[in-house]
Amino acid sequence: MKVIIDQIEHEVDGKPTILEVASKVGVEIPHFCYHPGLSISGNCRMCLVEAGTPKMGPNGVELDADGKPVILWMPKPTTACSTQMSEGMQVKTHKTSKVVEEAQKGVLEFILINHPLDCPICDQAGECPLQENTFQYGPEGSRFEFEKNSKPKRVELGPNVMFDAERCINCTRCVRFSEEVAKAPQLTVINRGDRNYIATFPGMELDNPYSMNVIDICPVGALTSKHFRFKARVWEMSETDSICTGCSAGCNVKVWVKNNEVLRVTPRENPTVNQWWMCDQGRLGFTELNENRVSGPSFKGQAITWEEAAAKLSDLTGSVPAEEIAVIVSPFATLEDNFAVISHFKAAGVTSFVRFDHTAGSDDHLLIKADKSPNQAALTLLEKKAGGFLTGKALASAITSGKLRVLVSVQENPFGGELTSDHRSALKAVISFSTNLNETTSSADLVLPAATHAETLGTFINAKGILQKVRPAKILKHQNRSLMRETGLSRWDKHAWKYDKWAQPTHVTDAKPVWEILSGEEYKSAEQVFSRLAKELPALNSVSWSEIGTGGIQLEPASKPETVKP
Amino acid sequence: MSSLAGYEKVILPDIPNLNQIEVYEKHGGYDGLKKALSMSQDDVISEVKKSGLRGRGGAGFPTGLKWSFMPKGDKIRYLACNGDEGEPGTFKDRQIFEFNPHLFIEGTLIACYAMGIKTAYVYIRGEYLKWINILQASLNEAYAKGYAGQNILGKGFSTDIVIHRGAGAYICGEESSLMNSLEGKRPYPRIKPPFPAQVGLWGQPTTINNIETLANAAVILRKGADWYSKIGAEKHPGPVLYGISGHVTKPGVYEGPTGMSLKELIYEVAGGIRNGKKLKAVIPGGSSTPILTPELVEKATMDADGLRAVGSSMGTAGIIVMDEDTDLVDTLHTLSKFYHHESCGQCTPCREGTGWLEKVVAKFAEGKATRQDYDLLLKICAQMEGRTVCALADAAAWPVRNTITRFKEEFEARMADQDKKGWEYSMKAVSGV
Ligand SMILES: Cc1cc2nc3c(=O)[nH]c(=O)nc-3n(C[C@H](O)[C@H](O)[C@H](O)COP(=O)(O)O)c2cc1C
Ligand code: SF4
Repeated sequence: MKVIIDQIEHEVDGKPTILEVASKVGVEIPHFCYHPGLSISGNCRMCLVEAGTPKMGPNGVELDADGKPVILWMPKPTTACSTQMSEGMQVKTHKTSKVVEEAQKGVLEFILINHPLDCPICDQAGECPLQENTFQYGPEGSRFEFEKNSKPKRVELGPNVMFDAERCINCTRCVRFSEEVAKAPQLTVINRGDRNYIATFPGMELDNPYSMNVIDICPVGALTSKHFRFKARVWEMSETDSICTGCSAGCNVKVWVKNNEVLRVTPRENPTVNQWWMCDQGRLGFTELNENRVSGPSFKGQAITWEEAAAKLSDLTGSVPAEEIAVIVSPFATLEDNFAVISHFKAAGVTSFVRFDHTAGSDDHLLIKADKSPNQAALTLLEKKAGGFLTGKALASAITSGKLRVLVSVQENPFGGELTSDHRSALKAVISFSTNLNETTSSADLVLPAATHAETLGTFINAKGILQKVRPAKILKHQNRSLMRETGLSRWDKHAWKYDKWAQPTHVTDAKPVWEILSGEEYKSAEQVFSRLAKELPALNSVSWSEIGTGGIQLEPASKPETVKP
Repeated sequence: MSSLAGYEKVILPDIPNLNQIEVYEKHGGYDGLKKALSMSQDDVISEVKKSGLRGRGGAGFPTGLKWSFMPKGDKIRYLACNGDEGEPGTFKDRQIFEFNPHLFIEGTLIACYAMGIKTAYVYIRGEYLKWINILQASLNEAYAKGYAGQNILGKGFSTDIVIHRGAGAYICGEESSLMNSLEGKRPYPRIKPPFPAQVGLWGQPTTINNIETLANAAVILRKGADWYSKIGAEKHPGPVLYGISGHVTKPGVYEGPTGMSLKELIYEVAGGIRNGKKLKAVIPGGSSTPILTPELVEKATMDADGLRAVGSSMGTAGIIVMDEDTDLVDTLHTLSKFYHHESCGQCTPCREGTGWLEKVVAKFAEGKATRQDYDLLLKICAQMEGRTVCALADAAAWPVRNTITRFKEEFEARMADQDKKGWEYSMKAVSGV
């Protein structure tokens, strides 16, 4: 059907609302309470527009003297978020209607009369729809000259979320999210009128596994992250589009970095993967990207150079026949890393490749998957190349029986669970490629520091078979040029100099992507590894690196892969 | 113009113990229901349409038309009877509960029959505990006699009537808020469309009617639409309960035809202004309807057209009379306080506007207001009116707009001294953000 917004005609399908059509055709209609992932509440009144429908006469649409349809305008402005469009409907936004412009100014003036206006100390400043809309559509001043209402501040709604009732504009997005999406109705509005604000129900906490999404959808700084509050102004951070590796859901995220330190991770919209959401656990898993890192190679606890490390690696793996070497591959590492590992050791004659299982619990109603490792599907693709995988149990008994005597662990922690100190003493040598310090790095002979998913570029395949990229958000000491091109840098980072905190050795890790450690000069970039493996693996034959983009590709073994989102 | 002369009371007739079912039956009680059950459902709705009955809950919507919006078919559907009676100056549904509860029950059953409804909820404000008990007793009688419940009067039609006690919020009287409250939710009014006739209680088609409206439906079926439509004003006919309060000699609820002159109601029916004082102002239909000056009172008749002609509306016919000693600034302050207290807080303009209005009106009450404040009040009203989910914002803005414009001198007299000069001031921002 045809509809007209601000005198421009658009062709639309289905029964969309005015706001849906407007955002599709690029007409901005400011709003607060509307969120595409939630039910319509229509209460903020920010999206008011004028709307009218053609007048129907006995012979169809009535025309005026100029041959244009006569429009019956609604007597009052209506909410764009809740009004469905119909054939021939006409809409006037603030661009063409004084009434709408005045209504928007009025709503913003009203919102601000009791708002604390503490933007200078508010975490939301810089990414605040209230700030942005006020700047663009608000009145130039306020005529309110009374004391503002005071309401509770610093209310701990739950383990992860802090609430400031004075900043709250009662849009109820968080209430609707908890009820409709998280299916954990823990929040409600209490009190009436301008005394009302959000609270948890008596005896409840906002502690559902998705609780922190309310922080993202809060259009003001009323809901903030206990873990991120006051850590940084948003414009000081760089944001890098990547994916979460907390489980096999592969939620799309933005990784926020300041001083080469990840300060927060927020969900990034992807309709086929995670819509607008992510779980709290995935969101809070970033501390291991900053802390407890393996930095620089070491042999028996002594720091060594990368060249010495390479020599040690061939010494140790050459000290026993290849059949006595076991290599643990990793569902936490990229497809490229695993491909490089299998290629490298296969070439050396290794036949025992091991893969650990990381399932726990069951899938939930929304995103969280029982499989806690992000890249099992990639290992499955490599299974044939590896000649099958041993399980953790089989590995343990082969070590006990003395069949396997050198263990190479890639981004796994076998001595944190599957293997014991008895196994350790039965082994001649242990080599660990690891991002973080753990039981395995402390008992390994040779430790090779691996880049985390926040420092590398590579692909993961989620539980739905969607191939997606992780992208480097932090820099490494020896930054590979191909990584640098992808790293999101803020203005802050770009203009830093050597005395800045992030440039200090303590703020950069000496680590490399595993494929780079193993391949030496063979590959220059993850992209090169990918094009090699795409040729080798039938499921990826027709996939090109650039096609993956930031939205991923659905892999379908039989048919041609289709792009999920550009 | 209609008058009480020769008017025969039908809603609250002077019959002792009419709340007892035997007495009620003796005076034609439940005849309307019997008649309705012998008609087709559509014919009952046509009869109500023909009568010209308009809702008595405040908005004056034609009742028959509202009933006809209910979809056909066997989808589960509900009737919600609105006995929240929250509008200041309104206390008439209470009289029906006390003196003629069966008339309301009968009307409710007729409505249920006409719309194929099997469950009716009567939502009564919590403070009305006494009347809730009276209604429950009457309802028990109606069940015992087979007028309500299963297989009513052996005609195969069944309806249950359930009383729900509210918890004390004005907003719960707004129909969609009432539905949320009945569902056990926070009583935020719902955004329309969808209208209740499509998506109402628990997502099912629902009709909401005021208690007095339903009582009138029973009268229409008993006496016929033709008889009914001849009572009172032609375009807004029927008997109506006038709740007269304030500075009159005999305040109370009086039944009369629509279209009576406001003067007759004040000076004859309610015995005139107390202590021989002069009249200063009248609010004709509950606190949100625009206030009338004595000149306008002279001309006003109590029906939709008559009140529109004087720039007001019928509302709930709760007439608030104020004598010459009334301080209208204080009166407005009280009203603004009420709406500020009762806004549900959902919509930005209402949540913030009601509080702001109250604060500025308070400045007038304290003698600290300026000319800017006067203009500001009108601006705030304009930013609220027609911008919200429900009509509470309008209900809060109208008394302010109309009181300060129709009684401008009173507000001017209460301004700070330096501001008591000419009216050339034009609005501009008076402070930074
Ligand atoms: C804020 C507000 C409060 C209301 N309170 C009541 C009330 O207490 N009782 C009532 O019958 N209608 C009340 N109404 C009107 C109802 O929304 C509705 O129009 C009415 O119950 C319909 O009944 P009727 O068609 O029989 O008049 C209120 C409306 C608003 C906007
Ligand atoms: S207009 Fe006021 S009372 Fe009505 S829904 Fe909006 S905030 Fe609530």
